[in-house]
Parts: sequence; structure tokens; C-alpha cells
Amino acid sequence: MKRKDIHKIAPKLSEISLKKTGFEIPENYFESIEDAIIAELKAKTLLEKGTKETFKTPENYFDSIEEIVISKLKAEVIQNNTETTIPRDYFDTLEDQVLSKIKTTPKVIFLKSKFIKFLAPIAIAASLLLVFVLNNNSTTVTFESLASSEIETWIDNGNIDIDALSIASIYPEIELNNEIYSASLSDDEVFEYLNEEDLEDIIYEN
Amino acid sequence: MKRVKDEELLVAQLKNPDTQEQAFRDLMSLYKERLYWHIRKIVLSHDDTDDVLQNTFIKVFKNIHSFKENSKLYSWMYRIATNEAITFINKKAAKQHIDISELQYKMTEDLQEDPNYSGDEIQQLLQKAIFSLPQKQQLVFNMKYYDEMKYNDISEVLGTSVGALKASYFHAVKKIEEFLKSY
Repeated sequence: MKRKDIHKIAPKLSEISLKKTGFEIPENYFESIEDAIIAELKAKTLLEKGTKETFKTPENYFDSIEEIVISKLKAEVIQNNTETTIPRDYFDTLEDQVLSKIKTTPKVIFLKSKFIKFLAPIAIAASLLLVFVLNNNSTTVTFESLASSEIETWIDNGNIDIDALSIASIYPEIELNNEIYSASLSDDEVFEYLNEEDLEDIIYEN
Repeated sequence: MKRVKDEELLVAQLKNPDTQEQAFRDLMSLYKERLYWHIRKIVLSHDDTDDVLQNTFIKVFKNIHSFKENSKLYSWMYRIATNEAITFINKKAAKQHIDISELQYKMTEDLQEDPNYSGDEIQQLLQKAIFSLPQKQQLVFNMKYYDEMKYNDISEVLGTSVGALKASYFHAVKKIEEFLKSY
């Protein structure tokens, strides 16, 4: 259907002027449109070029990005699975739980019954064994049977309370000078002297 | 024949970095008015048309290397312009949370306030009648009635068979006539 035939099927439409559509344009619009578009194009090209040159990516970044993302996702899934095995807020309440357990008085366990049950028979048996051993060791201990080293150890351990007067009465033939005999002579000084003299020789001299 | 030769030369110049700027200026000079009016009939306002026209030419420039020359250059540019214009009004409708028919009704109402519109009542009525059509019929009507394009060329632009286009145009004219008669 050609335009000249429009009036046959659309007389109302054909009455409307095609030239006076009512759409107008600013003055000189078509004279300046090329310059405007060229300027816009240059600005866009410059902007895109600048963006590409300014921001660079590491070599092969886009080849490896899928693998990196998938690895991170897998790690996240594993982490989430691990987290589900721990009760919610476990780490937030852990300190309080531990501290409350520390403060709680420990439960008293009475060992009396256990002691009677297990230790009493052992104690009785041990006592009987001791009596038996002591009765069988009735050998008399004499001074001669003691080794001089045992006596020295016994004296070194401070088990003898002896002073100069006692020594003089035991050994009357030993001449004591005043200095030694003085009351100021301490026990330590006496023992030092005795240690210097060979005690074994002294005993043997007697 | 000469036009085909001229077009081939123009495309070759557009693909050559040394000649592309001048060739692009020639291209714009050749098609700017036809594309402008094609876009204007879809978006109505001059400012919106200006935005869409600039984007159309920028897309043409950036994609000229992918132009296969199977179709005519101007059909290819018309297709880009049509897509840009429809995308523009779709986005505009989405921004306002309304559908296309609501937006188009609003656009015709806004024409009264538009300093770049001087149409009378009957012209506004015609515009409303066009916007009452399905979108594809609007495009066919505009390209055939106003631009007097051949059906083969419209077919290249819209990717619709010539037969379907003829039927579409016939239905569009009838609907507009009915719309006009109802007022």
C-alpha cells in the first residue's frame, strides 16, 4: 500500500499533514552534531584507554581467577562444616565455664572405708613381720664392734654432747692448758680439735 | 550502483585509521538527519533523541570492524539506532517503575510542555494513536509512513519478512484510523 493510497482506507489519517509534525529542533543543531559526537567519542576513547593503562592485572590473572575462587569456596565450605561440629557460642562461653568449674568446691572422697578395707590388713602384716625380725636380731652391739668411721659420723651429726671437762675426766693423763680448759671453749672448737687428731689413734692409745 | 560503490569506499575508509575520522564525519553528515527523525519518533523529546543519536554514531564507529557488509550500511545503522532508542525508553520506564505503554502515554502528555514541540491537537492525537500500537507496528508504521522506506530495507532493519511487514503496516494504518475516528 503506497502512501497516495492511504486515503482509501484511512481518510482521517491522510488529512493530517506529514510536513507539520510539530517536532522541532534547536537552531543549527545539525550543523554542530558531528563536532559534538567526535568530541564525545574522543573523550570516551581517551577515558577507556586511560583506564586500561592505569589499572593493570598480574600476568595470567584472568587464566587463574576461576581456580582461585573455587579453592576459596571449597575452603569456606570446609570451614563451615568444621564450625558446625562445635556448639554455637562455644568459644564465647569457654572462659566462664572453666572459671566456674575452678571455683566449685571439689567433691570430698572419704577414704576411710577404703583405708580399712585395703590398708589395715597390710599394716597388721607389716607389724607382725617387724616383731618377728626384731626378735631374731637379738645380737648385742658392743663398742668394739663399731667401726671408727661410724663413730665419727655419729659425732659429726651432733649426737654427742661433750665439753672440755668431760674430756678431761675421761682422759686424766692429757694435760690441758688454761686456754683450752677455759669455759669459753666451744663445742665446735673441741670437735675441730678432735677431728685434727686421729680419733682412731687416740682410742687405740687407750 | 554508484551508491553501493560509495558505501564500500566509505566503509573501507572507516576501517583505515588514517582516514577514519574524516570518513566518520562524512558518514554522520550523510545519515544524521534520517537517523535523528527515526529516533525522535520513538523517544519524542529532542534531548533524549540527541543522546540516543550520539550513542548510535559512537556504536557505529566502534563496531565498524564487525560490519560484515552483507547488508547495506544504512540498514545496519538504522538497526543500531532502533535498538538504542528502544533500549533507552525501556530503561526510562524501568527507572520510573512503569511499563512502556504507561511511559508512552506520559510522553505524549509531556509534549505539551516541550519547547521543541509545536504540534496541534490533531498531531498529538496522531502521536497517541501511534503509541497505542504494539511496538513492532509502531516501528513499521514510522519507517513506512514517515520515512518512506522500502519493505526490503525495513526487513533488513527489523529482521522481519516483507510479507509480515506489509500485513503489519496495513493493520497499523487501520488501527490508527479507528483511533482517530473515535475522537
